[in-house]
Amino acid sequence: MSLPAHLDPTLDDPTSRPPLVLGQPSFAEITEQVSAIAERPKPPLWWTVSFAISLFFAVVLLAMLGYLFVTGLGVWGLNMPVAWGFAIVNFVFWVGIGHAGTLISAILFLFRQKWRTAINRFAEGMTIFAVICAGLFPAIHTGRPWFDYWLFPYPNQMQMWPNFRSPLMWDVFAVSTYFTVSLMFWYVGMIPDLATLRDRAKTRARQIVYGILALGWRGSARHWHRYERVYLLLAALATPLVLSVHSVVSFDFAVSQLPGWHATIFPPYFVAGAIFSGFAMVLTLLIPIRKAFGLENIVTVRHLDNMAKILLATGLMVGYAYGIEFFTAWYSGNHFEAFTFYNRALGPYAWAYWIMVFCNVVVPQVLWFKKARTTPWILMVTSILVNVGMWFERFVITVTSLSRDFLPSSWGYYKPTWVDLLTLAGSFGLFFTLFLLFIRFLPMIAMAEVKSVMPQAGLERGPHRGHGQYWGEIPHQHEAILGGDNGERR
Amino acid sequence: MGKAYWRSLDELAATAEFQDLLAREFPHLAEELTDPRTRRDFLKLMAASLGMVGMAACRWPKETILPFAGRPEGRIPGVPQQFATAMGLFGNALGLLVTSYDGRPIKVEGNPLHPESQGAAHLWAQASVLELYDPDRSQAVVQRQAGQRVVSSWEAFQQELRGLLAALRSSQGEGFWVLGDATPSPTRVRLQEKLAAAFPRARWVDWDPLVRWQELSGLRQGTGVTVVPHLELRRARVVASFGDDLLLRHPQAVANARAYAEGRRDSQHPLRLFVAEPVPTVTGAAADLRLAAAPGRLQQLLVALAQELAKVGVSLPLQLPPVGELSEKERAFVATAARDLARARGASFVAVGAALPPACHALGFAMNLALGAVGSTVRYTSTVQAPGSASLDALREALSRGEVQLLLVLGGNPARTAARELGGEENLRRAKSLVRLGLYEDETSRLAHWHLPQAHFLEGWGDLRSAEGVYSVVQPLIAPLYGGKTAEELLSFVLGEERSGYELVRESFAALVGRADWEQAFRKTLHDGVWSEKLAAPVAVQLVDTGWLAALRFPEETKLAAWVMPDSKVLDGRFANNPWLQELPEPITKLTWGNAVLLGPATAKALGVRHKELLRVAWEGGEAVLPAFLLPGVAEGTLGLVTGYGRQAAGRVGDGVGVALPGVAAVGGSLAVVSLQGTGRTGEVVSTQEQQAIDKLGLEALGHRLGELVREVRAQDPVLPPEERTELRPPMPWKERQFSGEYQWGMAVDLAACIGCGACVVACQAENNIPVVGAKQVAKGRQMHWIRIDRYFAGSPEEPSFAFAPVMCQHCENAPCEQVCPVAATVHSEEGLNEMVYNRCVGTRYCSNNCPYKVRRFNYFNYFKNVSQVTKMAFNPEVTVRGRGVMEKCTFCVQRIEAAKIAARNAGKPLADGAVVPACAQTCPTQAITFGNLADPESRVAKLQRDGRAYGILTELNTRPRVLYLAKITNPPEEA
Repeated sequence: MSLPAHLDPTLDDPTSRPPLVLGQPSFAEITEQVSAIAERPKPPLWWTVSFAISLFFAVVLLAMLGYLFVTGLGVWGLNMPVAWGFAIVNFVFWVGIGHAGTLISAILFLFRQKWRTAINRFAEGMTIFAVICAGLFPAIHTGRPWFDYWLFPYPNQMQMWPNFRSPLMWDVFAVSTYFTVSLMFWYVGMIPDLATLRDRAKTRARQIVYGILALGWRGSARHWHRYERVYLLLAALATPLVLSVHSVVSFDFAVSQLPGWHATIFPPYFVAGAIFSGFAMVLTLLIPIRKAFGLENIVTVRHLDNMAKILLATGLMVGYAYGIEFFTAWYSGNHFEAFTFYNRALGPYAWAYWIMVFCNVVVPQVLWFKKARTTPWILMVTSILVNVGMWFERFVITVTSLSRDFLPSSWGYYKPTWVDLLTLAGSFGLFFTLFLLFIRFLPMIAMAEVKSVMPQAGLERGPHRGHGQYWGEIPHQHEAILGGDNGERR
Repeated sequence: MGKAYWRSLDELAATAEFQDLLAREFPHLAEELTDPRTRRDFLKLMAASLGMVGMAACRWPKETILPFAGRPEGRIPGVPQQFATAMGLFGNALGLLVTSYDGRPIKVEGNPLHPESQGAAHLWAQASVLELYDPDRSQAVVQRQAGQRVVSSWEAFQQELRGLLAALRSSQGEGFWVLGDATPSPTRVRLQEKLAAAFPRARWVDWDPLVRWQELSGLRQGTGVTVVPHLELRRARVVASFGDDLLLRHPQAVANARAYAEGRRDSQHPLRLFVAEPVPTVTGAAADLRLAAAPGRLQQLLVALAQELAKVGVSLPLQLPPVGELSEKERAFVATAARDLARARGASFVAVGAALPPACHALGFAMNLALGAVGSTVRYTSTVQAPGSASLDALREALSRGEVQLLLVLGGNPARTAARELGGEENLRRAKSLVRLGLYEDETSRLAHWHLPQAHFLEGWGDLRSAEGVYSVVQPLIAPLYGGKTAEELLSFVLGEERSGYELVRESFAALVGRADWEQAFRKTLHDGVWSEKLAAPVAVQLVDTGWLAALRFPEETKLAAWVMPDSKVLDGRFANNPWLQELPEPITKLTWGNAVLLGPATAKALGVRHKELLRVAWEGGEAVLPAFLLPGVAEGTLGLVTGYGRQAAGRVGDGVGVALPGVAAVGGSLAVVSLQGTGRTGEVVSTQEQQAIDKLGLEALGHRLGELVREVRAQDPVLPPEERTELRPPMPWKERQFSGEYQWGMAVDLAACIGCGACVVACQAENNIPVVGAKQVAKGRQMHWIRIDRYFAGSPEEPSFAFAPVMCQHCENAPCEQVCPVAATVHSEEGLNEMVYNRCVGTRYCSNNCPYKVRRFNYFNYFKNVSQVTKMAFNPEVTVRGRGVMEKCTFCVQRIEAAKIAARNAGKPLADGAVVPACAQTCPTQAITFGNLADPESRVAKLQRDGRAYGILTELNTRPRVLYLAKITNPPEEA
């Protein structure tokens, strides 16, 4: 069903910009719409049910971890040669998902993509929780997790430094940096909105909690000035992380000499894959939630369209990487390398390989069609399949390369155990528990930023203004924003 | 037992709980008795019966327990000592040196002075130390009355025995039978003769399924005298084997293997081995020309060989029966073998499989005689066995007629291994009194009225004589753990003498030496482990036809026949409770923890049988349901079966492992298959290679890689072509690490010599406290062996050639594992060792992922949680026992390196070449593994690494391994 031109926000007409917020609401209406979600005294039934299920799986995760620590890594399906299985696959999977949030928050900010404002808080939150889930796995997959702290370079009585040549060490720095910066970015960005919730708080408890979290935000020009500066700096800090963190994670594989792992294309391939799976997860979460909370006017079809385009683009990059890996393996003349790839497609794990190819290469092709990009349920199905495909991609890379490497005498098959499967399910439980708590209690849309891209913000007027905020123009621009809602009592 | 303290042994013995506990049928299942208890508690409990062990039969000078005030001479706490002893297996003796640490034996090695060993030891010798410390061994004298099992005592037994013997003495021993286990012990023979003198009507039978009875019988028929063969294959250059596993399941396996390796390495006159066998063995794998012959064809092939020999001028004075139609391959095999055997007259040998009928052995002897082998590659000597031995048939007859008053079973396990020959359990029960001396309370003990715990060879005095006549004293390294006695001590008691094993052996030795100053010689023998002055006199033999030729019958051709052999690890089942042997991958199939029915791929296809499908195989006298295992090299229409599995009275480890073959003759051999049915179900098969059947793609890759992994050269020109000499140290554009150690350790593995027997794997396990993980974990791929023997097939599935490669940590100078460990738990020493630091390992397992050789092993569980206190005595105290979550791998036996360095430093001299020998190199029967200092250009290993056959595996990855492999040498015959 195509809307008439003046109502269809997905039209790309170079002479005019479509509105990013539909229905021409006022600032106050935006505030009300978004804050109301966090302010409901009782959550909707579907939230409670989902939360109960997620919490259950989070507890299952805890139980599996307990069993693991007490009994040993043998409860998983690992063996020799496949010494890395679900845990590492899950780690890369979750870390990859996190990258979408940072890209939306930081890179799209630097590229002045104003449509990011409706989704950045949400996506960045997803990043935080995904990185928490991700960080869990390397910690628990060690044989003696109580000594994990030895991976940190701290002064110790053994006079031992860790081995800085090891990619796992780089992971420690990369993931911890990523988590720290993302958390700061997300939190700092949330401060004005937390202040809004503080100011609208109906109960004393909320007033205090949001008050503490808002760090005394008054909405003064000085505060805004500092806020924008910090935001820009954090965006600049976070941007290289989008590329570097998953590149470093890919080094876990690329720096080793296993055929199928040892490939120079891994860093860009993994980064593209991370963005691919991250956007897919954002879509999977966003589509039902925008419907459930009635946020379709803020997270519009245009936003979905844009995200779908990024999904398609990164999907094509991933598809290219699959193809070029095969070509390189054949062209190299290295029979170990060539075999690894033929083995992936035709060997005992072929079923995993073809699921991966179908979900990551075939399915996203539907996004060439605008109809598909703008129909939420199609996007939902596509994004779920993409996530499945991306999980299988990490599985295929990790497990098939290990299962058949150089010496045929040590070839072996890996079969996950029920503990592996429940731990994976449990990690989803943890993720959704945290995520549901986030959408329940925190402002899941960046209200202040959304307002800055609405026409009332006055940033669209004039021929030389049309690209968002410029330095030096901040004070009076924010007065326009401020005048709308901040300081206003309900 | 609770906390009720007892004030005296009597009080303890009288408590109801104690009686109750020990009254259970299966002592080895009474966990309370052994596992959770500390050894001290255990001894407290057992002191009741230990105290009653006859002090009268004191076999060691009585000593009171006091701490040392002054250190005994030669004994430094923490410094191990070696004592010479010997082990009997397959009816032969193997001289050993056993390492004793703080008064208990922990490692077995070969005795360089013993000609059967030459310093090496087979895998059963290596595993024997775990048998000593087996908590499931019988620990008490047990009496069975009216189905009730009652723990008794030596005294009570001796009381009853006196009564029985008194009765027998009056009848001059009528009805007194002794069933011995054919141990070639001069002391036992002496006592046997004394017994014959004291009880003239008593009968003595010897039985051991591993002794080559058919061969002995055949030789007797073919020569007219009782002789025993002694092979000297080091003089042989052409050997033809018909179903004989010369290199592994043979009394002289260790010496044969050494001779084989030396023959292979001889470039002037290289060895050539022809093997015709139904099911692949290590001997067949080593062959230059192998014929997969159905079991029923072996006899025809032997006769055909004799006929071919006649054509090339080696004629036998015999009228040979006509052979019938031979296939193309058979004809080529026989013709080529005959030609080469004839050409190498005086240096050739025809070996006939132990399971083939006596007539075949007589024919083999005839051929050897004609080939001039007698006196050169084989000598015939007089036997150690006492004359007048009765046969199993006679015993069965006597049992069925109820004439057996007292049957004394010494060792062995005849209720299982001679079930068919003795008429089964019911027949054995007809003995009025069955007294059994055994290591375990096994199938035979369950039928016995008295079960007596036997002292293991490492805990009791005895002696052994090899086939050649080399005499060794079996000296104990520890007092009997469970109050056992040796067979000789029991016999001495029967004779009313009650001498200790020590005294008996001294008497025998004195008699043997025949000089007044024998004491001096005895001390030397105890020290050296051998006494070779009076070797068995060679007996001059001639060929006689006592009618055996007429008895040579060709078996009926059946569509399906089975070939039964004792298993390569647990043999006839005697080692079923030894976890090291159960977990050792079988050389050819790589099976662990169980057996299967082996079929060739073509046969399986014709029968419609899938890999691992459960099959019901039936023969006359029994049937079994086993999983099918498709194995290249099995003859067409042949099923390969092994005995030794499916036991129910072996102990906690061995019970229920594998499938038994009821009603099969214990010597094995050809077995007519009555029916073979598929069940449609899939069975459990635990193999360390190819857990999944390899798909076509994988097989192609394997074929592609095999040529690089295992390289071959011809015997006539044992040098690798220049393009195959791998570039070991390509120059790097950066400054490379220089190793500053005085010694630079390296290893050379000779693939021409490795036969795949697995002795190195067991030795490494013994030396380095490597855990046993059990069948379920091996099925998952978590076996912990630091050295593994890769087995590859090449060529067609019907006529494959075999290759073995022992792979251990290569101690790469540019180790991929070291670079990726985040906590630097694996580092490189200045002497070139890749060192695994267990206490730093966090267990990320990245090192294993990056190791292209996949030699690292991870402790996925705490594999030492359920090890009993007794078994812990077998651990080597110089090697850390690894905990859960830690990676481990071959260390080049760094504890031996350090011990040698310390000794050298104390002596003020540099380490000599050969001073450090890792466990694998030490025990290898073929001396395939050489270790030493590469910094010394004159060391053996440095010379071997410079050899024209030397290459490295996967060196293109720039790992720079310190382990180089010497290419396999093949010597295929020219077309006949």
